[in-house]
Amino acid sequence: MAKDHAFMDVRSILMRDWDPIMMSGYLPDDEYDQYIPGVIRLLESNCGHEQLANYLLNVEKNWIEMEPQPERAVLAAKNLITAWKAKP
Amino acid sequence: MLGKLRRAAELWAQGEKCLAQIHLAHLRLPKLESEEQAFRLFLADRLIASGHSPRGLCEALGFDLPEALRKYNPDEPRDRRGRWTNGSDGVDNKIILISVDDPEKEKDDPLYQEQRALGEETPEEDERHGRPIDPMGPTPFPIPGPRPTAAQASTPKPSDFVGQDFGKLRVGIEKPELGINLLSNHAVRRTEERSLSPSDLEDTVVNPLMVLRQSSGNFFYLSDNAVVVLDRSGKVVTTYSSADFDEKIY
Repeated sequence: MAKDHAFMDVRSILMRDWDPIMMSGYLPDDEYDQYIPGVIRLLESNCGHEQLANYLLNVEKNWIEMEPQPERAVLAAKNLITAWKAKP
Repeated sequence: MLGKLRRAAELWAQGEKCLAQIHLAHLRLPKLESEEQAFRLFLADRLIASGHSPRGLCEALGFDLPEALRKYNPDEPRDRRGRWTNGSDGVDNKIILISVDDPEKEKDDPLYQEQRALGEETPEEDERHGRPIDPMGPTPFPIPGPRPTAAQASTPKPSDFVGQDFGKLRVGIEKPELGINLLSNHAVRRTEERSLSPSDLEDTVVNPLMVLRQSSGNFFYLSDNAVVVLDRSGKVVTTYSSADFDEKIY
């Protein structure tokens, strides 16, 4: 099934602003796709950026199992919310 | 073009880097615009050194060699500057230089004057010798060092890249004494999705072509078949197969 615009926008922001593995540009485009549905659910519930950032930090700690990077999680969360609110 | 490249390589190997740079400047090759381009050229060089044909590499990337290079025959008699001779011993005094009267070019182009001073052939002379070369055309292969014989060609190994900077991927290192002891949850899922077997991961870590130390402290292992990223404890952070090697890796 073709990925819709919302999915692709979230994917793009996660890769560009979050990227906990710190290899964006050298990872497959779908590297973080697993986490997109969770992000979209939060966005649809009008979450704040702290809640979204905590979700991403949880993923970093419990899934990717690398040292969490709070600044990047917060940046990504803010940009995700901005992009979500701007979508038609 | 090939003659100038060969001459530049010879001079570089002799430590005459300034002279080598002059020969390279005369080629007017396009500048590398990004680390990615440099990395791609580097990988192409390694593939050719390991026995892959330049033409095969070009075809795999979707283009053919420029016509002048397709006509290139390494067995034709040439002098030490790679210019065709009318004898078989390549001695300079057998070369027939055709002087070119082009006062406009000589006035306006300092490089043109330098070429004449060094005895290099001008683009017009190249053409008269049957070598139509487009210096702004696609570079068929990277600036080569001495080309290894078939007996010398070998698979790249991590020690070939120690200290080399690969931009965001960071620096080449010797293969660490590290094995896979665990997979992160993320890596388990990626391995399944990307149809990688335990032996694919193991082979990549045991016999990598190169290993890079990343700014995160992780290790990036590259083989022909896969990439494996390990953290300092040997845990697999992520992995992907050569099916996902696109222009970023090549």
